Amino acid sequence: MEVKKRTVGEVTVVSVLGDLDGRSAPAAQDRLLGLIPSGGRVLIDMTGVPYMSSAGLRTMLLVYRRAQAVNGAIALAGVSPELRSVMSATGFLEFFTISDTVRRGIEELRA
Amino acid sequence: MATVRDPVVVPGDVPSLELVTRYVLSVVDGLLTPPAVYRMRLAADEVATNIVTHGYAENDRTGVLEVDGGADGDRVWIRFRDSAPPFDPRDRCHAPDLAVPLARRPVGGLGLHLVFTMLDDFEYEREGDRNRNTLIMRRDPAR
Repeated sequence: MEVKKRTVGEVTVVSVLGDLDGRSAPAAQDRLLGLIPSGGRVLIDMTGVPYMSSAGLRTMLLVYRRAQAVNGAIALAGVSPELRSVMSATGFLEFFTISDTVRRGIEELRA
Repeated sequence: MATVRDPVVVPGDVPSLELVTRYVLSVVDGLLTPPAVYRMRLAADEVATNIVTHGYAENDRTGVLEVDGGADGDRVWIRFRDSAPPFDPRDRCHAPDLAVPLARRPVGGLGLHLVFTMLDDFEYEREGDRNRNTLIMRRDPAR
C-alpha cells in the first residue's frame, strides 16, 4: 500500500495505491490523516484501490471526520463498482462526494 | 458434481490473513462471477479477521484457523474452523443506523454487517470445542 500526494491549484490530490484491508489500513490511515490540511480541499483518488474491507471503511470514516473537524472539504474519485457496493451497504456512499474521474473531482472541489 | 479442496491450517493471527485470502481466491476463482468472487473474498476476510482479532487476540488466546472450501451443486462454500470461545456472528451483527450521520457513527462493527450483506447464505455451528462458520454463495448451475 502506498499513498502519494500532489497539489493541483488549491486542491490536494491524494492517491491510494493497493488494497485497503486489515493489514494495510492502519498505515494508510496515519498517512491520510497527516495529509488533510486545515480548511483545505482534498480529493482522494481511489483508482488504485482494487479491494477494501471494513478496515478500509474505518479509515474512510476517520478521514471524513478529520476533514470535518478542520473545516476541510473532501471528495473521492475513481471508486470502483465493488468499492461502491461496500460503501453503499454501510451507508457511506451518501456522505461522500464521488466523482468519476480525478479531473472532474478537482473541478468540483475548486468550484 | 461436488468438489472439495484440501484444507489449509494457518496460525490464527493477522499476518495469516493474506494466506487465507489467497486460498479463498484459489477456491472460488472460476466458480463464481467476478462480482461474486469479490463478495466471497470480502466476507471471508471479515470473518477471518474477526476470528483472529476478537476470537483469539482479545481473549488472550492463540490457536489455528482451518479453512476449506468447495462447490456442491449451486453452492460455493468456504468454511472456517477455530478454537476461540463460542461465537455466533449472527448474534453480534447490527446493521448500521443509516440515519446517523457518518460523523457520529461508531467506528467498528461494520465487518459482520458486510458479511451478511455480501453472502447468499451463512451457517454457524459449535462443533465440539470449535466454532464452524460456513460462507455460501450461489452460482448459476450451468456454469
